[in-house]
Amino acid sequence: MSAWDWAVLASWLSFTILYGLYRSRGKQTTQSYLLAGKSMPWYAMGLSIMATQASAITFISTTGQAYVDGMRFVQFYFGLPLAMIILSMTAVPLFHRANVYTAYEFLEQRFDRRTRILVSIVFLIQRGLGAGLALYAPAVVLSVVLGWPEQVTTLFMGLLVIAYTTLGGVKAVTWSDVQQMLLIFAGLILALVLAVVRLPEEIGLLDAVALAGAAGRLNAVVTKFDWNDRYNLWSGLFGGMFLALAYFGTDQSQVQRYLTGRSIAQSRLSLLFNAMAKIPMQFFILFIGTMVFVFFVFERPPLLFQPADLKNLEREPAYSSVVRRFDEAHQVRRESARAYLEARKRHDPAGQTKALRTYRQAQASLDQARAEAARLLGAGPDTNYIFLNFVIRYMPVGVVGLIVAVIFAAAMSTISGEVNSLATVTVMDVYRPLVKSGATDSHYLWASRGATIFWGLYAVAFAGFGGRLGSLIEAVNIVGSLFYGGMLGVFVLAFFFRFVGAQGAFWGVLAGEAAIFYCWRFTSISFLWYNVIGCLVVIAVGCLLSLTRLRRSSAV
Amino acid sequence: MTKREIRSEEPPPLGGDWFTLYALVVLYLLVLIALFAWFTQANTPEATP
Repeated sequence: MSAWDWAVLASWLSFTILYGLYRSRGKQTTQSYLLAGKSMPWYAMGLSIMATQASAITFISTTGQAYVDGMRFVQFYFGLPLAMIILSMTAVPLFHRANVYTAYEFLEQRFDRRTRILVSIVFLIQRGLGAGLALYAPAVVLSVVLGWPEQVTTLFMGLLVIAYTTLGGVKAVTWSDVQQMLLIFAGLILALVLAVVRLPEEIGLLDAVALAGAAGRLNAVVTKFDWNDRYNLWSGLFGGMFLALAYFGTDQSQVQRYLTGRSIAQSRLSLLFNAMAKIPMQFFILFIGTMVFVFFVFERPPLLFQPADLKNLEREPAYSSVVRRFDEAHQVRRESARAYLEARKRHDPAGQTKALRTYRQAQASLDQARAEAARLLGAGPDTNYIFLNFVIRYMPVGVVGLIVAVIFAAAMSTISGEVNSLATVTVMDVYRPLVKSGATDSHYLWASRGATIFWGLYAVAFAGFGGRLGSLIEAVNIVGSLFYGGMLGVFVLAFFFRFVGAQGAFWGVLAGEAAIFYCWRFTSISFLWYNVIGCLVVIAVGCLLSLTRLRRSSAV
Repeated sequence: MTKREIRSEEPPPLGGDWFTLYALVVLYLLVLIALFAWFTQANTPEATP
């Protein structure tokens, strides 16, 4: 990065942290620290919800996903608006009226303390893992840009987030998120414009769309149903809806955002804002990935996008044969792409078909060469490096710094929200009821700060494993899906099944989690369905146990 | 929550009532899916004429 890029990055980091702290100034109590004194307007909560969800992973991994697999990942979000409506009608008013700090506190009011603590622990495990992954992603950025070890950059990022989250609490988190989300929107538009501008002069946007489509990269909707296919219309609508219900309805990192609302109406609007904005945003990010793909149709891409892997590959004896096949396939793909566009302009169907076949064959050869290169090294997918590679090598001075700042903004907004919620659950759902009840407000405020530091450091430690998990966006969603079905099930029982008691809820959660882990270990069912299966098992077991108890007690 | 309870609550700050707003969001989702399906269809050519 040039000096200008560094200046842009440093200015942004300083501004966003200072702004968050400025907005959170004044005397703090536990309520203002954890719930912002319930004073937030809908647009700040809405942007904060989006910023917490849109991590650095969203940026660097989603674009890479579009490059290798097309746009079908967008279907993952189709169930989100439906989930937002259901939560606006149910969870938002119930949580607000119960006047709780965390979603799990509500479970004690509805069931018992044991269920509250069980679900809190499930949350702490899965969100702790998620926070580590969210921290690892920007470490990948810096390690590519600066050549620093990932551990050093993880620590640097982690300490920055710990500092402003510990000092400013949820208010600092939310107002920093607002700034960060605005920068993300600006960065997205700039990245797309520059990806198109950097195409060869004679290739316009419509030509680029035609080439991405010809390579099967514009597959935004797949209607064929398949249990084992991760992304299609049905898994997105149903599996995605359950995942979004679980994420926004039971995950404290999201629930805490809308618990800060000054009224039920403001909290509802923040969710509906997310319902409207999320799908177009994801579509836009994936579309950037497809334009990067088209850019590399004309510019030779690296055989592997992970720089360290590429260096190691050069030492392999088979390297020259793989790279020769890769270069030949790239050349054929470039020529057939031009031939395809010319045939389209001439309205020559036979020419188009011929060029299209060659183009697709060349693409398959390129993919084969890349797969073989990765196999030679035993390396994982390089999806997370594709967009970064493009930014660093082809973006103008200053813009590189801005895009890196966007990635930082996305990462920091996610990690701060997660660390803040982990601290809240630790203090409110575990420490206060089990370790020290009846202490002063200032004691819990300091305990919350201590817990924030602890979870920040935990995320730093866990981030060390991020590199072994392949595509990060998928890893995050898979980790979430292992736990969300059980959590969602217990809240569905709490909201809709009044006859279900504490026993049914507690054993229902355990049975739901057992079912999910069975599916994960012993079946090939796509992870999006885990949420549906886990939730249904919790409901079934909870209802059965409660009905059995009711029958027994009525018989007595 | 019953329909009556929801209707008796504070209306959306931007006007209208909550059910109309929810219906608009569902309609918006359907339009998006239809647009994306068209986008996929229009931009994924078959290799056979």
